Amino acid sequence: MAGAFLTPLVDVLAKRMNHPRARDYFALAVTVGTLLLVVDMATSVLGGDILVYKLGGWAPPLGINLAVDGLGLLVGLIVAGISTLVVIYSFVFMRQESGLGQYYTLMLLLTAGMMGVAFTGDIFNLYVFFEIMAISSYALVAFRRSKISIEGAIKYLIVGSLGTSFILLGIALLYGSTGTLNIADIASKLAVINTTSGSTPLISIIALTLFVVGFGIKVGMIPFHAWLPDAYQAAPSPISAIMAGGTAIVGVGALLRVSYFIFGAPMVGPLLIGLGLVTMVLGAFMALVQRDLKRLLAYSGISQMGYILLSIGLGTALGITGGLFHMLNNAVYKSLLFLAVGAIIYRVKTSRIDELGGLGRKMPITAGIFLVGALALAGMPPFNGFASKLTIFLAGIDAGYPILSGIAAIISVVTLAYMIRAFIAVFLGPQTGRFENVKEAPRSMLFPMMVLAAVCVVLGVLPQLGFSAVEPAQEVLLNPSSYIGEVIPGA
Amino acid sequence: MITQLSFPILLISVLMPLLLSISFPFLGRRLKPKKLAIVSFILLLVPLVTITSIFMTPTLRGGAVDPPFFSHPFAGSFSMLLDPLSAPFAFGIGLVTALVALYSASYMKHRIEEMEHEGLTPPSIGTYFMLYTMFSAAMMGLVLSTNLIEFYIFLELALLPSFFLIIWYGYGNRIRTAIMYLLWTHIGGLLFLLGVLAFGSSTGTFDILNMQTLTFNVGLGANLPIVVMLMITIGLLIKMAVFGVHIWLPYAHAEAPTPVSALLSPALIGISGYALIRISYILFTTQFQEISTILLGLALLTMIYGGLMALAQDDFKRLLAYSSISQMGYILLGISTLTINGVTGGMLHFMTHAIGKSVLFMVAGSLIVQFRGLRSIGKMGGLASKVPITATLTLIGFLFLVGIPPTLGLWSKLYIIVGTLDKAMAMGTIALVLISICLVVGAGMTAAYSFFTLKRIFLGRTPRALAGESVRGWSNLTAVIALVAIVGVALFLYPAVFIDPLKDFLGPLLPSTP
Repeated sequence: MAGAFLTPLVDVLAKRMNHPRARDYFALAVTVGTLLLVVDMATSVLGGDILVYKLGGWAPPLGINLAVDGLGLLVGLIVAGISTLVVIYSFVFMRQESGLGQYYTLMLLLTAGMMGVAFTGDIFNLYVFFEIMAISSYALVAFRRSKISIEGAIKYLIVGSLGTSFILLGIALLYGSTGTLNIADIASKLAVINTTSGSTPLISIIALTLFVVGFGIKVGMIPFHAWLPDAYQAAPSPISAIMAGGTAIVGVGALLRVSYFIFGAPMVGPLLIGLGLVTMVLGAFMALVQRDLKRLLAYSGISQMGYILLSIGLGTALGITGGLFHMLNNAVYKSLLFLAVGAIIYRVKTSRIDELGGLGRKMPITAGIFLVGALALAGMPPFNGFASKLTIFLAGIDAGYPILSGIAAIISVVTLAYMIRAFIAVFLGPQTGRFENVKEAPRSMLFPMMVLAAVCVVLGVLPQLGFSAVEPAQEVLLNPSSYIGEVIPGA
Repeated sequence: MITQLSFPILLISVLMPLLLSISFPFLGRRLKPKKLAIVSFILLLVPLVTITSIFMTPTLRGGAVDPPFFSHPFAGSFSMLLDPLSAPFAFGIGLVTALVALYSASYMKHRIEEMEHEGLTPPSIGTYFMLYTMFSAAMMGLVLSTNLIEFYIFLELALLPSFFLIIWYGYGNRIRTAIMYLLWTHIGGLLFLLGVLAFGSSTGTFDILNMQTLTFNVGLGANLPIVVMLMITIGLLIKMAVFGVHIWLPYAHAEAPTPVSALLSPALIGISGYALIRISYILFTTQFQEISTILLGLALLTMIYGGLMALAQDDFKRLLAYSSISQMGYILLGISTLTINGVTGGMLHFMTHAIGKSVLFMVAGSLIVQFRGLRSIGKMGGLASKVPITATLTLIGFLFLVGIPPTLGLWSKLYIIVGTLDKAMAMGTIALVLISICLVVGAGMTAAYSFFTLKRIFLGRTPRALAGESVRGWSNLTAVIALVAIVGVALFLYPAVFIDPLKDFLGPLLPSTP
């Protein structure tokens, strides 16, 4: 079981072993291996266990450790699943590009960074993995080396490194006040400080703010979102998919891990609700006016992130369940949509809504899959978005904020409006002569999309599956003491 | 008394068409439209036969419920219930959807040819039948739901296919119309959902029917703020298109492909009337009584407004759409009286309207097919000599709406009017006079738009443009329409089948009338 935790390290090593022919399959093998290991861990973590692996055998809090709890597992599962599918998708999509060795290396690095953030039990390591993830994604955004992608990448680089330095500063403050870097240890020591002094010291509040801003930048929370649409638009579609479905989710996971574990729900809640609300509303209205499909999806991703933060900020069991479930669902359908747009770009070479039209006849499967994603995003039954949005609405009412549920419902109508608008503009309407010879996307691109679409339907028809996947994560967030106890026996 | 069945036969009868409909696009490559229509008809016959046979079994007449097929701690248990309240709805929907499926084949063949002639490429007829069958089955599931969440899911499941039916096969500016339809009804649905969630989170259950005791959760929401009830009710009223929130309906129903109009117009919006009793009234008994007077006023307004607008229309389908608004006014009127007679009449009127309006829409459709897209009444005239059977069927259809024997309309209108007068008398002399005037005006207007339209289309002189038109044989179209009409006439002779159980069911629920 402990071998599972070496996965991120294996991934890091993978970049040394690029053989030109074998690298596609090697990348696939690594991601599939990661996925299998995570699934293997899933059985025991879902059973309520927390797996702890001590690097070098040093006991925490001094030694560095990896710990897989419900939250880490959920994020890890999403990341590994989506990375695998994206690698398969990339085989054909990226075939014409040069420098694929770097591409797969960076992709594996990105995956490694994400897995590391999900699993680490040490806050400095979290920062390190976070930087790995960030730097590899900067490079991937700039992969095409066109003007637009360089610009997007530089914007992302500047804003992103600002974010990571905020995180580093926050870590420094925490280390200064507690003298430890282990997450579990910090949490228990801070709790002691809070109870002895009777109030929260200013330094923790500053640290918390730094963390929220730092991770907020990463997940594209408004008002720290400016980089996101540019970067998503500039990146190759598989990378947009992995960023929307993986990186953003990891950001949320890390934000939750740090804020809920270390600072506790009552302090973070109102902040998350407020930011989530703004993010949700503005993101949706920005999406409504976009003229580029990828930008539209980027803004809609921002808006959905708002739902997640809002719901988790409620701090109730139901709210956290809804938020985490929505996080899972959002990862699935948002990467699905990016892959579908990628398929369109692959065949038509544009993602501008004005130029597209009437593609439904030529690419019926892509159209159907896009539709599944769009309806899931809009929260229509029988797709997965419905179950999680329903939970979020219910959580809002349950927690005594029916007005939040009301706003969320209105935004849901806006979501439906912009997704349907996009669907109609791209797939319906008259065909333009330019698209006379457009064919359906190749099979190896359709396969990952179909898998994701199937997940949308399965989680929608059997929401119990989703609920049981997020249950352990929700328990961990509400009750960090079991995690602390597991990592540092006797604390 | 509700009996629990040992086998989920209702569920299976709804899910079978719902799931098997996915195969239509593939079947569509092999089979001709007519064969597809027959497959769809047989699939939709399954729920119709099931509910008819259950309802005809004397021991099950008080209500039959499936064992729950889905249970969740906070969502409650989902099941399917056929009882005297849902029976007229289930029967009406089953009948109309099954027969309109047969009608669809020739109509849609014509429509798709027409669209291809315009240079468009609509999805194949197999896709049409998939959406059609899904839509029909979802409506059936809607009526049989026993849980609020389940109800909402079916609501959206009915909305989506109908949206695509309009956007792909509709007339005019169909994309704009479809989006308008989708957003309006989705807003109504979400308002309903929020109310439902507020209800569920404070009472701890989403069940309408308690599956342990097999009794309804009557008045369970009595202690909730009235806002919750209002959200649910307004959500339903938007879907019902009563006056004030009716704007989407004339567009959607007039521009939808005609067989779909025949379902949308009478069936889907009428279900909201059912939900007003099943959900708003049963769960929020006292609050609903408080607003019933407002609903009464709204109903009269809707009735008269719909009638007036119908009189002013030139497009036959648009006229029928406005007439639907007016008839929704009648259904709401019956409900808002909260008297046994009124509610019975309202529920029965759903069936009347479903049969009558689907006959009329199908007639409008066959005129469109026979006279190459002719919809404008001003360009018609003297058609009785050309299409005598169609003319007769139109007459019967309008008789349903006006409430003249030999149609079921007589009974439903009679009950609604008796119920309204009961209520009006309890409200005082002035109310009685006002309401009576409104009733007379409303009834007069229905008669006026019905018979004027009839005269303008079928009597008088034939316009020169149509005089030379040769009419192709559409016997299979008229046969289907006739079959629907015959069932309606048969129900005129035996209305007690539905009325008596309904009265027994409503008696203990409604406040005792003075």
